[in-house]
Amino acid sequence: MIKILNVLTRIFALILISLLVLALNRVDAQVVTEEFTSSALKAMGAPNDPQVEIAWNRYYDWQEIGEICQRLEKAFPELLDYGSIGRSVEGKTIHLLTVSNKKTGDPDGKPAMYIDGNIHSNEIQGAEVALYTAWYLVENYGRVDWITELVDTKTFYIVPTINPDARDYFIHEGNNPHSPRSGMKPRDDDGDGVLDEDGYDDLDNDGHIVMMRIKDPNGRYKIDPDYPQMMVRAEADEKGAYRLLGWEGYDNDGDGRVNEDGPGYYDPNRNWGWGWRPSYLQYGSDHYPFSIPENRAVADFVMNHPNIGGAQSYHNTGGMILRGPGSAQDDTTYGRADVAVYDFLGELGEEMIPGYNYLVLHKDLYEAHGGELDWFYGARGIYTFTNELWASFDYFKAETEGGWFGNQELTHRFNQLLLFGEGIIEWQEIEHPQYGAIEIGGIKKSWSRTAPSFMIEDMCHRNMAFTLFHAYHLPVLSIDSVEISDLPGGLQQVDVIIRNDRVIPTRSNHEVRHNITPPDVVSIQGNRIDVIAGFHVTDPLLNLADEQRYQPSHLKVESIDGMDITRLRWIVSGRGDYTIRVDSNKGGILEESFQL
Amino acid sequence: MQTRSELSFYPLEKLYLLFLITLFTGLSPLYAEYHHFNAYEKQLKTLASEYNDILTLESIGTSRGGKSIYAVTLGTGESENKPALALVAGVEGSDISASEVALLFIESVASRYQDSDSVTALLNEHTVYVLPRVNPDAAEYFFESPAYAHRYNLRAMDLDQDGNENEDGYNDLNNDGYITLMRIKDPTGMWIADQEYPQLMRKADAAAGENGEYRLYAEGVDDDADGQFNEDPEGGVNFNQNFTFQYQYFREGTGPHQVSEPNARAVADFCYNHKNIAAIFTFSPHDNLLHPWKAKPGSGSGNEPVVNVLTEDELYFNQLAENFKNITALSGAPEPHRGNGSFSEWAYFHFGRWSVSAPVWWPPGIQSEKDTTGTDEQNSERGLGKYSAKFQQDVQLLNWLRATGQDEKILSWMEVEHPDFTGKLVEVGGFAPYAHTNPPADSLESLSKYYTTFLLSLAQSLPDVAVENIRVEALENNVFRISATVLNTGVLPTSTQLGTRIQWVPKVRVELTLSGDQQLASGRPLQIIDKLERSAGGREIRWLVVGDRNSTVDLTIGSPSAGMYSRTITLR
Repeated sequence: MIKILNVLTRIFALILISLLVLALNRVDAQVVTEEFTSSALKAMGAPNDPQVEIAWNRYYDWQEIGEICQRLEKAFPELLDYGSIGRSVEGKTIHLLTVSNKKTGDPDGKPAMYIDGNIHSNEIQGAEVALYTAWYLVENYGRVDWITELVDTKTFYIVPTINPDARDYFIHEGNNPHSPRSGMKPRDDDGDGVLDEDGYDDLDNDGHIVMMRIKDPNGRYKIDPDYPQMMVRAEADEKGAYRLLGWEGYDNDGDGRVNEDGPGYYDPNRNWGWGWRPSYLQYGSDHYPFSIPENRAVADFVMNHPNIGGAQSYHNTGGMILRGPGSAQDDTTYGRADVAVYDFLGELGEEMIPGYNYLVLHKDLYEAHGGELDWFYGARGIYTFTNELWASFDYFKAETEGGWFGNQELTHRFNQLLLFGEGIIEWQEIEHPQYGAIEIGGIKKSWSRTAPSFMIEDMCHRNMAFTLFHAYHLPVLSIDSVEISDLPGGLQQVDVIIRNDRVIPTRSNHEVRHNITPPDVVSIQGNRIDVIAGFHVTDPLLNLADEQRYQPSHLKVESIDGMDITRLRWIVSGRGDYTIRVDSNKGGILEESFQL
Repeated sequence: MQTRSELSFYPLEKLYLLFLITLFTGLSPLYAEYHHFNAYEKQLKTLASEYNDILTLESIGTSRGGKSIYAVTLGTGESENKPALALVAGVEGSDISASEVALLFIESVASRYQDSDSVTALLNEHTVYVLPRVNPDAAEYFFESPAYAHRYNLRAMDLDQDGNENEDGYNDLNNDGYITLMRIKDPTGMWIADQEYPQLMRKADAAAGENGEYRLYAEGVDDDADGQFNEDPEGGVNFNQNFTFQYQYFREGTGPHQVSEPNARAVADFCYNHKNIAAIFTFSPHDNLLHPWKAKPGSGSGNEPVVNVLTEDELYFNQLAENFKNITALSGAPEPHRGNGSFSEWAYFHFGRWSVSAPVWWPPGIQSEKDTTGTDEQNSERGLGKYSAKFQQDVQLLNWLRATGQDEKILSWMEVEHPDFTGKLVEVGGFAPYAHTNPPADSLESLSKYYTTFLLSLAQSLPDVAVENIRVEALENNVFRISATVLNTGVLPTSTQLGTRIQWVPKVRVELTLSGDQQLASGRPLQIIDKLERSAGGREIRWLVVGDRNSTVDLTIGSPSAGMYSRTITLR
């Protein structure tokens, strides 16, 4: 019996000790975590303890982007709304994040920045930059004053991918770095009356469409002496060893051509309603502007949100900050005053994103008609940039040969030294249904146009910073001064100066020229005040003013220019409280009360 | 060099026969009145149930105002794979007459299926689509009071961009049920009443020593006190300015961008979805039947937009125009409109089809004196009121209305009180709205007969592929050479020349399908021919097939817009 008790006591003691150790350990663990978050050195930038933990070293498909959007909305209901601008060809919702502090005003009434990515389906990383922007803004709200003020006074409409169907098709099906580019609406590319019947064929089912080659003593290609995966042309006086057979695939429809009618094809970025040209002049423009539902959804959204004054779309590749026009014909569309705004922002971007060049699309790259950036500016007067993410500079943080896109050698060198060979599929034999024994190999779809994992966050941050400054420079209006002076007959003259403290005007010069949007309205109202006359003061020193005869209490102002003022004058009778109000689509609403 | 006889369209004797049939087949005079939307819809449904063997009615979209855009298919069997003619009416919302003629055309064709050999054969081989009222919102204004010849749909638009929508429309100042013109006696005005036709206003010609006496506006007041009159009426967008060819930005009625309107989109999508459409006839002032398009050799090459008809196509368009004049005997049509986002120009220049167009009606003849100092065009450009095309049309209408006893459509100038012009003489007058393009309802039926005859002949000219000279030669070891000549027996080429550059125009497919163990030793199983002209003699195609004697191959040739042809060939 005693023996048994002894044993029981020992067991009891053991349990107690164990519990004690566990409890102590637990406390230790807590202490360590707190120490890590509160006193460990926080790097500049992202918070140590974000409310929504997201890995910024990978890419996400449509479903995962939706999940991130949901998590953000749940964590930041006051600052962020998750919605949709419409549906894709295949019926996917097109995710929309609206970021703005709702407590400081209706987001749809604040000067707004529109951001999207991935219009070209293979150019995927724009979605991550856009998502990172939303995440960074809400996570740093209340931590960084500059961000807090931005989220209080401005609105960000962020659409990470405007080509969700083909984004997923790129990620989950066989593609190369350049395909499919189009969306998924079937089209007859080769004019044979059949839709999408001859696309690439992923012969080895590895998800990557690579190159095909066949050994041929009369071929003009040979293996590169430095990089055995790379094929180069034989020297002029040298015999080659291979013939290249194009991208992985075969002639599915027996017309003697290989891969000539894959999913799509149209170019969603040639389908916009400014400078649109039919497809015989601009390949890929499709039936008519906005025949592509994803584009139509964006256009409808933008037309329904006249507060959007700035826009950004993300593409790859080449390290560019592009502005329009895409057509030489539109050089005069982009007037001097607006170009000055573009130049200010573009040059800022060049400084912020090393290796990126601020370029004019048609002059410095190529002519492209019916592009998104031209519609935003041409049809809506919105200052818009397209960034081509991933620069040749990014490979070795140095200017390189081979221009904006780099060259094969860079891709292979980087692959060897920093990716340890992961980016390229080695040549392997395969039986081709039409060519017989051939070899396939080459660059994976996820290499050469997209940043590798360890460079994604850097790309996201720098590009985001550029758009944040763009948004920062959307108008911020204030009433600079109100001066009252007495006139004969008991009348009073009210001189008001409205000031814009940012670089972007309330209406772009192009908008003013074509009366695209309603003018800003500056009004004076008071219960016991009668407005006798209203004026735009054109020269205060010479005391010159233009009278507005109709509705003098509501003066129509063409634009309140960047870092500038507009001077207005009323002659009024009466006394008491009155309100000066500015109604500006792109400059927001401003109201202040005074007494006469 | 092609001779006229090789190109001639449906033989003339047959045409006259067709015309006589059209004239004398018993059509009941149902159309004493123009149809407002509900009556129009009811009429279409009645036709659809009465002729359900041959006629299908579908709604292809909904206007901004919630009205259906209807499409009628007249055809048999796999109608979507037979070469088709599309008739599009109502592109100018104020031309209700076009919509009525389209309705009459439908009934005329449908009622003659089985009775008339030519119509029966036509509908067995071809398909006819009719879109009778593509801007129903605008058409409905015809039946409203006060009447105003409105061409816009019901898109809510802030036309003057002042932040308010539709706040300054027209006002019927004299309560006569019409919105007409309003003139204000004022020496700063630029208008005068013509001496010869004092009813008509025209611009004063300063070079001829004339001084302006009136300001001229549409009837109305400055509702929003902004100094402008009627600058923001209800709506909208004009269907016929909303298409992509030479679309104009930032103009009233053109919309925020090309094909922005649901009715325009519905019609464009209908066209793209019906690849078998080979030719399109549109009732539109963008006339190219009485004023044929002129080619400009050398233009539109390379990466330049094509804005003139191509030389190769001009030939056929001229033949269609000739045919039109022969059948309808119409002349004196107003100067055509050109290049401002119209549907019919889009149908050729961007859609690549054989697109022809004529205004449905204009006041007949009674030609006025010609100016001797310059061409009409030059004078019109100089803005010389007396010689402007608009003034000439007004004279023509005035004379015709008087000659036909329709004086009630001439509204004499009537003095009114006007709040914005107190102390000035303000008068309201002009023509009743719609008088320029809509004849009395009882004349529609005879009008429709000309068009019906022409449209049927046009449908009979559509391309048709056929195969001749199919030969099988047995070579050694079960090797067979198959040869066949593909040709076009229709009048029009299988594609316009411009269409060979446009990816939306179907090309002719030639497909050889093997069976069993057969192998193709040479030749391609699938070949594409861009364009076949009747006069070009056809294209011979050859294959070498290795296969058992007496086994078969299938040959399929054609395209939806040129007809399909298939044949099983035995190897022997």
